[in-house]
Amino acid sequence: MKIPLKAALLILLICSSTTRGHEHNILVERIDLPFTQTLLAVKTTIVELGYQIAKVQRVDKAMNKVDYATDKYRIIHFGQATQNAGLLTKCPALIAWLPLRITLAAEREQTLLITLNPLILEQFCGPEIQFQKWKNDLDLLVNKLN
Amino acid sequence: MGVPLSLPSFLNSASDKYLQKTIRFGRPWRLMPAFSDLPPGDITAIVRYLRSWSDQPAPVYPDHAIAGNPETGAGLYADYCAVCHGNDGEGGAGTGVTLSRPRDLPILAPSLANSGFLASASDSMIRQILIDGRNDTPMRSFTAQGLSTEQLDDIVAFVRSFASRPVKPETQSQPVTPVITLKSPYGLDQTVANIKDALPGHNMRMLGVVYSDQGLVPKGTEDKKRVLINTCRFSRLNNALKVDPRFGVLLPCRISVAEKDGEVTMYAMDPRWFSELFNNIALDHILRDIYTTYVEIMEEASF
Repeated sequence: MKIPLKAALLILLICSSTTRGHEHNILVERIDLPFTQTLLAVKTTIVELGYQIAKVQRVDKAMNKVDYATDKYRIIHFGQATQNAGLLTKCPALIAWLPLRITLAAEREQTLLITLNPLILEQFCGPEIQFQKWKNDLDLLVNKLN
Repeated sequence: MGVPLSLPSFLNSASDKYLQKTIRFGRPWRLMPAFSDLPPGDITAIVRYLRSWSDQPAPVYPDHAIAGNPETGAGLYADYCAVCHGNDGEGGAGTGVTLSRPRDLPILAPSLANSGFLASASDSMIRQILIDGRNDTPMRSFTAQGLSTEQLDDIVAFVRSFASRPVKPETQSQPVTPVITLKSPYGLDQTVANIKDALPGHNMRMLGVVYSDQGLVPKGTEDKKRVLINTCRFSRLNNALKVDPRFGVLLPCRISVAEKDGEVTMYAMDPRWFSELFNNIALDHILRDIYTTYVEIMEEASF
């Protein structure tokens, strides 16, 4: 049964984690563009915002033989080396979380953009201006796509 | 996930009070967060918007409990409801059925043992749904199937009894932190080699070893003291993505190794820490499983 777009958008709003009382920790945005276009737009915008793309990870390699019906799932690893190095010196455990990542998943003719809220890193590294900058840039990226 | 909000048979059976409470309480451990801090005006506006999808007036239900026999209801539930809603009211599986995957059922049966659902749905609303069924879903009218009013009341009473045993995750015996950390008695290269050697024994395939800034700096200038070992158990990955496509935020599975001042430490995200973030009980055992894998590999590598 086809769900109207407006219903899907509301479902997404309701399903975004977590409550609005505090920042969402896992950010989920529904982008009204097909997967390939979204992927290109995200990569372009990441670079425009001053980051480098380290790699685009596929998760379908070796999974084509399993019942995975689509290959439209990518994880974009990106960052800025000097930013990361400075933070890793202050907070070595950050290595488990960097580089930053954005996941794109096709859902019919739209794309889900899924990522961790960078502010979550404050919970074990303490507040850093850079985390807020990353969050701001993420918001800019999403606004540009929408 | 769950019932489409624009489904006529859903909107025609859901009272405004049910919708408001659903937004406020969410569905703990079933993806939907609680929007407890939304101003009442915003919640009203959302409900009004949902209501605009239907030309039928919103139903209104009394709040009083329905007297029924939950023990009799248990047997009826097992016969008529458990196949979709689960033996313990846990709901249909595969909360993340998306990515153009085939679905077993067009609609994911809601979790009836969910504290958010039970706080939102009155007994009368539950009974009405049993009476009407849900058009465009596998749920048929129970009265059409021959159940009496008394039997419906018994099922309602049994469903209400889930409140005393709601679906919830296992509690952690110790506090969970965002990162697993373990010092290695070996140098960086030996630690990395030990981790690589340990992977097959834990059914993990090695995807690659990279420096933490690889791809972000010119080739050959990477920081050689920070290494990422990417790894995967594809069967588990496939299951995890089926359950919840947001699982990608944890990928790739990885153990990181860093050397500082001659000391070598291994790090990994603690997947269990994400349990509350995902708010998806169906993922919990996968997250715990990955945690165990990481810890066992790290302990073996530092032995």
